[in-house]
Amino acid sequence: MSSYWKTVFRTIRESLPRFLAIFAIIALGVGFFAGLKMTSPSFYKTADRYTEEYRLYDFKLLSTIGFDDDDIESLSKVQGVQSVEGAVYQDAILLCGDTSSTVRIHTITSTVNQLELTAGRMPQSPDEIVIDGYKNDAGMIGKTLTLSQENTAECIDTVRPHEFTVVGLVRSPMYMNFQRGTTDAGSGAIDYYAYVQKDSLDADYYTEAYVYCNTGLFIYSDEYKDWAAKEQDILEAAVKDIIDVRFDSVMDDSSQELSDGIDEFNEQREDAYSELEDARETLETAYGDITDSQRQIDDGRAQLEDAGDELEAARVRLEETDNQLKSTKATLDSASSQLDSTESQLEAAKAQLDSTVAQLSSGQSAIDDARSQLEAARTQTDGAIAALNDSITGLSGKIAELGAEIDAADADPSALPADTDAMKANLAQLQLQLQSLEDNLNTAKAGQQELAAQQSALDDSQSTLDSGKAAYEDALAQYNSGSARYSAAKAAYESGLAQYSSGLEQYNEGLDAYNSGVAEYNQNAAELDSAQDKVDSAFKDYYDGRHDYFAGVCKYETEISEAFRMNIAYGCQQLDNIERPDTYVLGRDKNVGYVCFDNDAKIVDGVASVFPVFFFAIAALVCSTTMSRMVADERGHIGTMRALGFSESAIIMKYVVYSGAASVLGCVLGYIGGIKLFPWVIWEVYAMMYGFADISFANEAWMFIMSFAISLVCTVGVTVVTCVTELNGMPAELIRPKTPAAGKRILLERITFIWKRMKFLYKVSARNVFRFKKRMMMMIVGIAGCTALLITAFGLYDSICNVVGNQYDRIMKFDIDCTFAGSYNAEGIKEAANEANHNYGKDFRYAVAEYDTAHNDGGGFIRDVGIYVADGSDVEGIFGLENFYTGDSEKWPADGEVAISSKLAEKNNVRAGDNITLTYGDDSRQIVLRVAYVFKNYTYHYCFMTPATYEAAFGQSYDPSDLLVMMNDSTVSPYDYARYLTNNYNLKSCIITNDERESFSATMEKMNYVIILVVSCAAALAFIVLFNLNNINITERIREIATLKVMGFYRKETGSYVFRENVILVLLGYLTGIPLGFALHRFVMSQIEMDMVIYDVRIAPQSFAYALVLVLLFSAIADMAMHRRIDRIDMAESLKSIE
Amino acid sequence: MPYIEFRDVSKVYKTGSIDLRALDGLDLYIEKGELCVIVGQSGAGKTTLLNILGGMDTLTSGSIYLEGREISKLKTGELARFRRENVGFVFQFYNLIPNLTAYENVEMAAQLVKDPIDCDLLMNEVGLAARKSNFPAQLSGGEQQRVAIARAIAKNPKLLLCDEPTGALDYQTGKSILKLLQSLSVTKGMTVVIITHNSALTAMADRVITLKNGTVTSNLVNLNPVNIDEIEW
Repeated sequence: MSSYWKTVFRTIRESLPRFLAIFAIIALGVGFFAGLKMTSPSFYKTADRYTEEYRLYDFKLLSTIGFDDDDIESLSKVQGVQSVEGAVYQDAILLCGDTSSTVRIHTITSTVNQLELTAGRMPQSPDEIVIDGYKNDAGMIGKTLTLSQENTAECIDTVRPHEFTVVGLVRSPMYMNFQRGTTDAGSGAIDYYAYVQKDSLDADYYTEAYVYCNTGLFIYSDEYKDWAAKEQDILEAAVKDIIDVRFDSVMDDSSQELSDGIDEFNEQREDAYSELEDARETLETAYGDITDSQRQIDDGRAQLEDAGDELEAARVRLEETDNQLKSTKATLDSASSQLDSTESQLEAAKAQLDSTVAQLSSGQSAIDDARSQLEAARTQTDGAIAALNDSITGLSGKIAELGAEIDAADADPSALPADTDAMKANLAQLQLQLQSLEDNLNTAKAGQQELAAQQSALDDSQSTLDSGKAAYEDALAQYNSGSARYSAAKAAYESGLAQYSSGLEQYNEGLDAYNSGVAEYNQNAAELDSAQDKVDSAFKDYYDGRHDYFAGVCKYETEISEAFRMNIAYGCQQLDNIERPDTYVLGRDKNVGYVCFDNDAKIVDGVASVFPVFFFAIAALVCSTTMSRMVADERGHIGTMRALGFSESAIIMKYVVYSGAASVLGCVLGYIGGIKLFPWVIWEVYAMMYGFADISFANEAWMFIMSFAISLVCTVGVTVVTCVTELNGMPAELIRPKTPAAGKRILLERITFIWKRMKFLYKVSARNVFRFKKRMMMMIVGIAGCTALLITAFGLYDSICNVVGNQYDRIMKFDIDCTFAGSYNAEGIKEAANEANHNYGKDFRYAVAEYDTAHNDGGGFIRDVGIYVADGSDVEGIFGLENFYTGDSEKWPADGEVAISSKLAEKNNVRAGDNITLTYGDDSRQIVLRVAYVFKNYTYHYCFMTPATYEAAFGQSYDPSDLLVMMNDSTVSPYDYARYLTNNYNLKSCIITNDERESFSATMEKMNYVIILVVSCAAALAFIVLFNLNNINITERIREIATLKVMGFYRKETGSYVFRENVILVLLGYLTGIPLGFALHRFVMSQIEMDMVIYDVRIAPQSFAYALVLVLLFSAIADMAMHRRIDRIDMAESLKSIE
Repeated sequence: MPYIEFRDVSKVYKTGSIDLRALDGLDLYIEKGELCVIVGQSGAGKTTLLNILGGMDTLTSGSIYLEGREISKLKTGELARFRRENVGFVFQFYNLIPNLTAYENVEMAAQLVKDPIDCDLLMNEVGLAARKSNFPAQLSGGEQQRVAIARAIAKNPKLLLCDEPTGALDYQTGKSILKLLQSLSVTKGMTVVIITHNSALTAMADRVITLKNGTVTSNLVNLNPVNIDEIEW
């Protein structure tokens, strides 16, 4: 080998780190660039291969009357069609043990939509089934799936076996992604699909026909789209014709059937009618006979009645007579007794009168006696009184005389007291006498008075007696008149008694005549009754007969009208109403999985556009500095070579080879590694949604060529440029060492305040930072890039990780959503919830709602919209609604308006107050709803409304069958609660939101791959930049560093001398990287946007801290390596003078 | 006990099968406060000797004593300390820190030791008081060398080692540098070792050591060192 080449290899060996640095950065740059750029093509290649291998249908044909074998036959002859097969599907609720799932059961087709068996085997009998390998694992093989009783009758009829054995897991190209679709059965969402043999489903027609054209055109390509458009037109026309033909023939058959039916109907009607007529005649005759008999009886009755009346009159008369006689007797009897009593009275009166006379006379005589006595006494008394009066008068005169004497004596002093005393005593005695006389007088007067009283008493007695006499006279007169009356009365009584006797006789005679008349009457009546009975029974028979007749008429009428209505009118109406069938031709672009895959692959493409540029820029910078450094280092060598006379190109060639070798190696390795690694990792991440095949790696020559070209430009190009620049100098100049960069004052020095306070060595570092501009730039750019990547990686995680948590913690707070069978009404469901609560001794908040689905195609993408219909007050607290724009919390929308989720609003460009249109139902009618507000939402699309709004807008009655239960309690597991409900009530399905969370955290785990990948790249970037820079740094300043060591700087001090600058630059790089990170993060988030998810685009504060920590960690590691390098600086060698 | 003593010192570079004996069983001694000049042809091992003496390099065999202390046995860290506290170096190509001013270069060394010589004083002594704030790029060769000397002395070292200090300078400038060195030896009593291949300078030395092929061929004491001003070459 020539010495020239020796130098090349030696150089490589000697400066291996440098070589590796270039190699590494090129590899990284190319890997990223090619890898990311090739990811999307790899995806497409994988999908293309897959859809071709498993013959994904090109078109799905539908018609409103299905397809039969003849149709399929005709379709296979259509231009462009390679194979067409009819298929049937049925949605059903299948039970596996306790778990119920809503399954779409397809029939297996052999030439199109071929299944890939991932475990087990294909069904060999109608009761064997293979199921969705993506949603189930191999543990399901061998299990039995039972058709639930909850299915509609139609479903139960269609699915022949009511039990299936799972024999294998499959993948169907019709379901490229994880979405399985919606249905009317069960919970409304299909859990997984399954395939069975044709015989397992009982249907008259194929529900759909799948067409495969084997175009060989690349999936999603424009050629395919153009071809599909043309073929669609052809097929649409063909299908329409085929279906029309069948339709017409079916219509003819039906019309014929109808007219046959009408004839039969008329015939039967005639027969029935004549039967009824006969019956009617019979009845009429019978009726005539009966009424005659009745008439006779009635006459008889009339006669009898007259007789009866007569008897009655006689009876009445007899009664009257009887009464009269009785009263007469009574009167007579009382008269008799009266007479007797009057007689006795008269006698008594007489006696009394006699006694009274006697009394009167005796009394009179007594009075006379008394009177005479009284006269005597009076005379006596009068005399006494007169005597007394005289006495008194005389005595009084004496007394007065005496008194005057006394007075004179008293007045006279000469009078002797004994005399006066004697006179006074005398006076006293006289006075006493007077007194007694007066007493006597009084007594006599009293006596006189008494006599007077006696006198008056006697007078009274006399008058009494006189009145008594008068009374007696009256009484006597009365007695006499009374006596006369009595005699008269007695005579009357006697005559009356005689009358009564004769009357009594007459009465008895009359009574006998009456009785005989009554007996005759009764006899006649009895005869008439028996006759009536006969007539009655005849009537009864008649009425029964009539009843039967009418019943017959009714039956006739009913049957006629029913037969007419049910069969004929109905049939006519049906035939009239039959619309011409519609046919639909749906291309692949209506298959959800197919479309989603395209979108997602485009996402990757979008992301791929930024990163590689980034990396290549760094790569270019690193390479340029490295190579220019190298050339600078070797300037002496170059100069010498020049001096020796080597041509420029020869000299340059060494470096070209050096950098070229590094670059080529890096490019090749990077390319090979990159196009495998990146697509694979990203595919793994996407496997959560797809995973239908292992990735096929795309490999495009142009990509390699471009990568190659760019790497060469970055390395060799730079080398050449640098060399040429250097070589422009004279050899002598080159040989002399390059003047080291001059010192310069930096801006910070002017801030003397800070500058003075800085420690000496820090001042040095500060100046050094700005001394080497290129190095500074590179360090900042490199670290900024690294930081940006780290921030983006962590930010990605932050933005995505909370999506499901937020959704189910803040917005849909219920833990369980159970759908009850249709037989339950709202009350029933609430009772069930109460029961379950009671069973667990808890009071979990719950609400009743109705869940429905509709579609929306805002922004050109068809999406499912979940509709919750509930009473605002009921669901309060179960849904956490925040206004998307203002952040305020909102209540359930009022009647007449709806609340929609934020993504839905964004894609339709509507805000509060606008209208949004949803497509609903089999007939895809458009429903316009007024938006009350837009609420923050993270996954899927939702629309909330009250029952009134729902009924008005959708024309369906509000029939809630969903129970939402909010638990928030770790002691009761939602699974237990749900199982309790399932066991005790009739549930169609039960969704536990925890499952959603778990499947999402599985997704997040996959995200970790991405994070790790990006962090690794960031680390790689940081290391490469740092190592390289440190290397250059030290090489450039080797003399300086050696001098320090000579001066006695310790190892640490020497290291810090360089390290300090690094730290400053790293921090500057970090700070620069923050806004870059923001931008990059935002960009990536916007690229990976998926229709049904809103990411919480944010970077958590701790992510910035993590990024800083990692950046510092990387730089610390790099610096540690640098320390070793510094240690190994040989002072003597470094400081050697050029000799 | 000599101040500096080399005993049977060898420095061998092994490259492949070839042994390069830079120093070959060398013995020498230098007394304290001497201005010692080491002469010899190119490749004689002068720089190697100086480097090893200054603790910048290690020997293969033998031992070196400074003030009775065997410095050849010191480990890297100890060597660093040794250099820091005891040795001042002056290089042929100055090796000033380009990013620091003249003053700061001196200060850089001064802040390494506990009792440095005052930097301003030093600057005055080397006659560069007016050029304190200039960067090395703004100084002439002589000025730079003077700064280097100031830097070396700032640490107040026991030993001042100079490797061809005037190699890159012209006659007059070189002379003034040497004058400075001489005066340092005289006034401060520093042991100054100067390597040169200019044998005219031996006149100013107190001791002249001649090296040839890695060994000391003569070690002469000059009893009457001449003032540099009087030396012409």
